[in-house]
Amino acid sequence: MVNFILKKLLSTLITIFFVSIVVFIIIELPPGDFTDSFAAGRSDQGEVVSKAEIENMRALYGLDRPVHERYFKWIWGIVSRGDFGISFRYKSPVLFVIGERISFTTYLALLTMLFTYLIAIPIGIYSAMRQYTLGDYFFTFAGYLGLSIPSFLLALLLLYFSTKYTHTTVGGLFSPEFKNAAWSMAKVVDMLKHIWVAAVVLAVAGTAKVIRTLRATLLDEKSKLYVTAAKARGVSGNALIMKYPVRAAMNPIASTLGWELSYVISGSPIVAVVLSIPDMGPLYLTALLSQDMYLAGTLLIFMSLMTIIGTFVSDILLAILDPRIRLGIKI
Amino acid sequence: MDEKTLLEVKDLSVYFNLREGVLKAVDGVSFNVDRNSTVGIVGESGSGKSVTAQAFMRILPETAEIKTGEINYYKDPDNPIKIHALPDRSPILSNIRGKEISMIFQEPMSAFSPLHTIGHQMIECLMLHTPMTKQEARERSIEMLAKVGISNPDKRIDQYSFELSGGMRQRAMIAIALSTNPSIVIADEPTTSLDVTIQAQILKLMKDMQEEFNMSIIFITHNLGVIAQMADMIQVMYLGKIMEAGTAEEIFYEPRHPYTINLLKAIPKIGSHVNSRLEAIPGQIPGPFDVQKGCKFCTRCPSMIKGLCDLRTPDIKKYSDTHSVYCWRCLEQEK
Amino acid sequence: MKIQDDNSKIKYYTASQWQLIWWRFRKHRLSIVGITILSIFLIFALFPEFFAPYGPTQRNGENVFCPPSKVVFKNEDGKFSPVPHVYGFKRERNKETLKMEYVVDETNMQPLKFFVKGEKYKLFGILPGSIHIYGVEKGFVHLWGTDNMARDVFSRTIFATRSSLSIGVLGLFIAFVIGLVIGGISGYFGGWVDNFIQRLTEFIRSIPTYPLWMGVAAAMPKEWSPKTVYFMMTIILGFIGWTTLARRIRSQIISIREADFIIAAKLCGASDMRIIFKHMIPTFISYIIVDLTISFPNMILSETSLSFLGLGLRPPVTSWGVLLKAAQNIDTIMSSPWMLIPSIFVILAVLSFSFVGDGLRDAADPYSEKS
Repeated sequence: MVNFILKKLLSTLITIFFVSIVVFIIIELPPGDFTDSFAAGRSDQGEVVSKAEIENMRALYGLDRPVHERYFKWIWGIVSRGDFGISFRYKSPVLFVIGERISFTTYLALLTMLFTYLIAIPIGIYSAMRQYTLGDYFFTFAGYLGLSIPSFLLALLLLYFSTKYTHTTVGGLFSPEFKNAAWSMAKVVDMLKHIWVAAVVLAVAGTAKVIRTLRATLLDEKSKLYVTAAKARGVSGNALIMKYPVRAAMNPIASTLGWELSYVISGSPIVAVVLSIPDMGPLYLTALLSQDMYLAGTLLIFMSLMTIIGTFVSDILLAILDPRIRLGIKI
Repeated sequence: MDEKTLLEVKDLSVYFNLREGVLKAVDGVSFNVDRNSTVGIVGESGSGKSVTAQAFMRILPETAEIKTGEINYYKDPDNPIKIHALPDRSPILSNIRGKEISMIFQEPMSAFSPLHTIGHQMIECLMLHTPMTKQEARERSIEMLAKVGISNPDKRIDQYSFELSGGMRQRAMIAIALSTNPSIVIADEPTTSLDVTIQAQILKLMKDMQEEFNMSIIFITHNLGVIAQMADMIQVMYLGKIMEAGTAEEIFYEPRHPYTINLLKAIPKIGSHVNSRLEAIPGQIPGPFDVQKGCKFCTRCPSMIKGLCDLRTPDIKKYSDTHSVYCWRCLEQEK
Repeated sequence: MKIQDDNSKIKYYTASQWQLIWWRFRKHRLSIVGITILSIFLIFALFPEFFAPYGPTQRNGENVFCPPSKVVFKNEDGKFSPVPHVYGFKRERNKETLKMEYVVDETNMQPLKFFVKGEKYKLFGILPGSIHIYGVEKGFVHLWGTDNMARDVFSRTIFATRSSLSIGVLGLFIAFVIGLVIGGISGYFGGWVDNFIQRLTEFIRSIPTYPLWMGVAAAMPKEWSPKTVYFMMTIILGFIGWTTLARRIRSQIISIREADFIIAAKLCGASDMRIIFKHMIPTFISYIIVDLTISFPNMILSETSLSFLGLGLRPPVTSWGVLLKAAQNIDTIMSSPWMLIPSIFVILAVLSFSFVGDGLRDAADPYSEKS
């Protein structure tokens, strides 16, 4: 098991390294750099920025160095002193700009995952055990619908109906009185009151997918010989279902946990933008639109890190659940 | 009903309700299993032999139902249990499964859960059916594993089924089946997936165990060679019906039904002429949904009587107390 | 498949693979619903000029954010009429809020005409025409209201069907080509090549998809023409979708490579080309078609989401995402909720593709004939 974890840890580190390269490529992708869009912005306001000033600015931010040099400088900064670079737009270190937003995204993702599995697992079991009943058909259709509505649309609809019928908006993360307050129990409760809407919206598609996988695996496992064999030994009722097919169906659930998280993180910016949740999402969008590339790159790295950690956890979980993985036996 | 009888099967029919129609997998089967004896059920695949056995334990697939008939269990002759009539969730049924009747499956690989250790599944079974504590159940399991010839049983018990070889797995399967000291063990093709040498070992093990534990065995196989070694009584099945029943001697030395006779001709024999051909039964097994009036075998029978065999289900013809045949030809010869 | 008599049995056993697939597919009622809806969308996408009463950029004077027209089955006398009639609108100042509002003009009612002459157009850019499926003789009819530039939302949605579906198809095609090449190489060669490609795919998959491609989409210069952006978007969509397809193609090829009938063909001396085209492709093509169908919703959702964020297609190109972008802020959707109506098309399209995909998957799998 220790060997297994070490091996996974190593491959995780390699993945992080490659991810950083991809992220840097994206940072470098837009033609021109921040100084260009800065100059363009200024001249829109009637200010003329001279060529020399731009060159100066370029040198200041190190934008005149060759690509690989900038990459290693950036990476070295991150590794040696946790310096992810400067946000051109906010004129301050990227980490400072991101600040609390990381934790908001993390809460949102965790809460979404919690909802997903809390809802999906019982429904999945129900659907498989009551195959072709009204309830099963209902959940199957609801699942189709859940997978078909884009998350931003669901968020918009919730926004619309909550404003129309309750005259409160579901957007934002805190009520005004808590916005700048110090952290307290009341503030956490207030945050949960706001954040659950986004979590539910984000959880819908994932829940539908998990229900589908769970139902299919359970139906498959239920008819396997080892279940009949257990039944023939006298195991019966719920004990039989929970101990054998449900237990076996937990493996694919565990192994897709990482992808599920990746999916949530991937969808979260767009939902956060619609519901104006001040997490990494909206910041990422504005950073991209204003070519504030170190900020955008860092945010992308953090989002990737979350998925990579999720995948790592899911690998370990699978190894705990499935002895064949743990013992390195091919299935 | 005499005192020897342990399990009585009367006119049992099991139907599958499939989208394509109703499949009569078992169609009016009757026989008895005596105490401490071995009954062999032999037939080609699709003959309904496994379904019959599954019905005894009420572990039929969801699409199947016991349509007619009785399965009576005479552990206590004065107080028989009507297995066919027990409700699905009855505790008596759970007690029958694993405690009174246990089963050895064809593929030990897939009959063990890959996510639980062998020991886990053994201990679970023991704790369900006996008042043992976990520790006692574990000790009993190790003892059973040793008894069926598994080396290092205290180590094996914590291993998973995929870590054992095929023969070892089947031994473990037998150990589970016998651990609760059941009265009947159903062995559904227990040696089919094994090498021939291992087959012989497993068969010997089962015989030894039968002597030690005083149980009856219902042995299901398509292999006549295996059944000859094992069974006291043999039921020959074809398409859900019993064709011929008798003691091993009667079936092998005085077969009467054309199906049994042809089946025996298809076995290779040592010492027969080098160039002699094995005789295959002509024709094909009819599709499962083809409605067949009369004798099920008449489409392939070399001595079919037109206008009789293909119209009316044959009556029983008894040659001895134990030997009975369902065949119009045999009845005709009588006259 | 109910096998009753000999005739139908013979038909069943001698049917070709595609016939079997079609028979099984036919039994999925939802798939049939799905394929019907998709056919309608396809017709919309081919002839939007005919189905939309107005052009995608045609303005109805100054009537911005005009609500959907009121349609009644009554004639001018207030009696029932099988021909639907529409009311016009007049603008009035609300006495309380002093805002200009649209009020149904009870005096202005006219029958909804079908196959009316309207704005001239050229089908496929060549065939001239001027007939629209419905319209009114005087003034305008807006079944789904108008947008911020007084354009008919229904017409724009019909036109958007073309770009949304076409970009999906192109994106899917690119994803398929990438998936086929990478998955094919990975599966066919195996060994370290396979290992390397698998690793690479894993790296890419560990970066959250939308944020990654948002980054790439944001890199498209503002000066690019809408057409260039359109083609870039197809490529981006292709890159979003390729990983799943590559994985599926790889596993298909691996499972088939070792199959007995392929080895038998090899032993018979069949050439690689013959093995690939005569044996391998016919075996897995039905699965690939299924995978493609199942991947399609992802294309539509990706396009819609990226365009919604302003990182995808840009006006004057109209796509479902571009239309929904106009409904992005709460004020707009509160005052003009009809701006959200185009989303019905998105949901229907995705739903239909899922139905068809699942129906095909069950139909294509010969072992799916469940009890």
